Amino acid sequence: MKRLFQLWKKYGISCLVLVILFGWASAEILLPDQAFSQTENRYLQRLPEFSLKALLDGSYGKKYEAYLSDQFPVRDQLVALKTEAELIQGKEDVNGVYIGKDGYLMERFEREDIETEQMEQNLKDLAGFLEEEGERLGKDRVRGMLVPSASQILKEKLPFLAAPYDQGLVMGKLRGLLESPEQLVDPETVLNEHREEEIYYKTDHHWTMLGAYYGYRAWAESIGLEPYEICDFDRKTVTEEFFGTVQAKVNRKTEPDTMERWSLKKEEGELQVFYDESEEAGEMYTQAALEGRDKYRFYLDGNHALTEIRNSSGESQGRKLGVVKDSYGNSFAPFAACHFDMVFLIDLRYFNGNIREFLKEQGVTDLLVLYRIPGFAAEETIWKL
Amino acid sequence: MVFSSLLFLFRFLPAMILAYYAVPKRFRNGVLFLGSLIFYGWGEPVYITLLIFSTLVDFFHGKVLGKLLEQGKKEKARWVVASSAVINLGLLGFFKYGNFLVETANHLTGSGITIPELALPIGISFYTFQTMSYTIDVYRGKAQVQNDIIAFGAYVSMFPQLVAGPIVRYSTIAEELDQRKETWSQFEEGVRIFLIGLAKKVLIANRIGAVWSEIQGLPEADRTVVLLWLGMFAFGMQIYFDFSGYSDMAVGLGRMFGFHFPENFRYPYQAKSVTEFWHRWHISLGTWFKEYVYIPLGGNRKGQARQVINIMTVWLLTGLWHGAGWNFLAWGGYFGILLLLEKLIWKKRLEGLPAGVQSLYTLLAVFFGWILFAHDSLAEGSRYLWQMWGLGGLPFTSGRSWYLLFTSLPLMLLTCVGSTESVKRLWDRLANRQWVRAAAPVVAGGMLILCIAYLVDAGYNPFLYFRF
Repeated sequence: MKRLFQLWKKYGISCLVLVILFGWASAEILLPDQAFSQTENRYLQRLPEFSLKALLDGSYGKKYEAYLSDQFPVRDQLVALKTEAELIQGKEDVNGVYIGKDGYLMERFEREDIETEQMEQNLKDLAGFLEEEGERLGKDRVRGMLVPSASQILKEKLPFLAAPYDQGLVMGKLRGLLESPEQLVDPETVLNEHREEEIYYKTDHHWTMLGAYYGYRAWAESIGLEPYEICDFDRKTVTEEFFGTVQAKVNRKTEPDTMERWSLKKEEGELQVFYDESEEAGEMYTQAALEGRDKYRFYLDGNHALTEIRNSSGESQGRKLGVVKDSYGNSFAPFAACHFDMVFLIDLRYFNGNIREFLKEQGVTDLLVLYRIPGFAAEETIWKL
Repeated sequence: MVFSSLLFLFRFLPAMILAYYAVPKRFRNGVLFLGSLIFYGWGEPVYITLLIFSTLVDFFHGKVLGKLLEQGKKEKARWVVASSAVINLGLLGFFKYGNFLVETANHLTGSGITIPELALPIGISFYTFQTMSYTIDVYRGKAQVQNDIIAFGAYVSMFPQLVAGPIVRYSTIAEELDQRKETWSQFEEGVRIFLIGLAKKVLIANRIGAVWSEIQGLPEADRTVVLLWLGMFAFGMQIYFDFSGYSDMAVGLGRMFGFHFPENFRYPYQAKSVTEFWHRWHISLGTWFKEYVYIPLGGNRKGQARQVINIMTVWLLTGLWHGAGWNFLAWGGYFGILLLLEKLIWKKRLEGLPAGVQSLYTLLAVFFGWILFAHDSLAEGSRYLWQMWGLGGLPFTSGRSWYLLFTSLPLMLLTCVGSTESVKRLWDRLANRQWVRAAAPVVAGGMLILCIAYLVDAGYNPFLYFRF
């Protein structure tokens, strides 16, 4: 025993280090490969196939390194360890995520993340689209709504001294590009008024049903619709175990989020959903999504190129709404659908037709472009408008 | 391949240790040579040929040189040295300076010559200098001719110092190449030094480097005086911890395989003059230029005017060695002038000042230099230096500045302490205590795991949207 201790004091470092290096290396080789990472929501690199050509042009080497990193044992825990280490050393944001107060995790955006050439181009394309469609359908029927992300509204929840980019500037720029600024809905004011409520998820980059409701109010009022009140809805909690994308970036143990399902109390009509021009009605809420990690897919089954919601109440006298949107639109759409015979949700990332033609063909009478500001700034498909 | 990667730590290094210690002594240089070629070729396999070419060229030059010297033909031998230098510098010139030369020529003459963009072979600046030292040392009679091509190949390609130095002169490890003794205590020592280097690189350099990248990438509207000063600090610390961390890893790895490489950094930010700084920073490069350029040019033996020219030549070359660009030339020239000023004018006066003032002067001189170093464009660099003083209408501070400064403070403190001798002093004082000895391996293991966490995180990449 004493001799062992002597050895430890003399050669302990190299022994321990060798055990770690060899141990981890053999664990990785022996453990079966994972195909998909739940936390990261992406497929992992598998052992690349060897070929002399791939070796010589260096691509085998790159893939092998990606493989090594993707399949590394206890990878998620190591990321969590890194996050803790950063926080202990006084950092307040890790991997681009603010570790806010009361369990709020919020993405950090600075000027260089938002004010890109891509954004300038997107703003021009959007302004052009709103103007031209406004001419065609009437200015009071075409709206653009850019929603700020959590850090813009929940300022009180930001860590000490954090001062992210003011996303209001983007709305300002867009306003300057439009002849009739009333075509813009700025949800910042109303979201700000309700910043004490749970309008954003703590662990995800989306707004909650409640947040989407306030966005819906602001939009409805701007086009002269009378919005339903909160008390008109039945609110049902569908899960209390939601960990979103922002949490995945830091892998920190935090409070999970609660997700809700809202439905109108008065049973007048029935909502039916059709995904990607399918003949068969789909589910408005995807129950199965709550079993997996990517739970936000619960709303309108995640992102489809085209989602059609039909309302059988006939209340709207034949009005049809087109919504060009990112995933913020998925929790928003159920509210809008209360007021229209038909709602077409178009996701430009996956939609490959001519949009203006499509809107004409379907006889769309009202239009809304709905995006989250940071996502909009970086979006590469706005030109499709 | 770089040391601070999962690939190196969990594939290459374990395999290398196994292979190296499994074979009998006489095959160990071969294992080292082969392993080094794999190490080198991992990213750019074609450039292995370059490394082998370099090895062969200098091996045969050395042989011929040996023969000629035996026969007493010193004159002819000179030509062999010249030929080796021309080939080595030719390679370096072609791969590293080709574009720069052509662009400059185009700029001056208005011509439009284009040459293909070549990826710079990793470490070429280091190993060409090393192989040159071999032929020159043989010529000078400071080294024996190496007759074993495997041993020579192991020297040229030796993976611990191949990519980022130190520049090990042949004469330094000639003996160890032929017969070295690997012991467990040395191995232990090597692992310890390697870990310190790894931590410097992964836990300090990369993190303070992230601060610098953010500041370097700031849009004009977000630049403030506070952030520019913070940026200068961050870059200066990044380059020190990065470079000296790499050197430590090299020295440590060398030790693990039985080699003793020279120390490359000796707490340069503790220097009290720019002259002293350069005696402490990248020592092996300074020594190389002194041995093979400054002294052959006549050094200080041919009068003061000649010495001034020699010093400026050495420093302009030193600048260019760091990179093919006008900013590096300017950076080298800047230090040439500072060193001359110190030598000729204010050395005595400087020494009379309080230690704190000497330190401040040195650090400012060195860190302003880093601004030139960090900006590819001289105009950008000078603008940065200009704006640091609030000139050009820059606001003093902003919300973002306070945030970045505040959240970087602990790390900044760590870099300040870590770049001085104090940690080592503490270790030296405590190293003999029983409990320190017993705890050291645990601390080392913890540090390694932390480094691994940071490396893994770099490849961790959550996908925001729907899976395609």
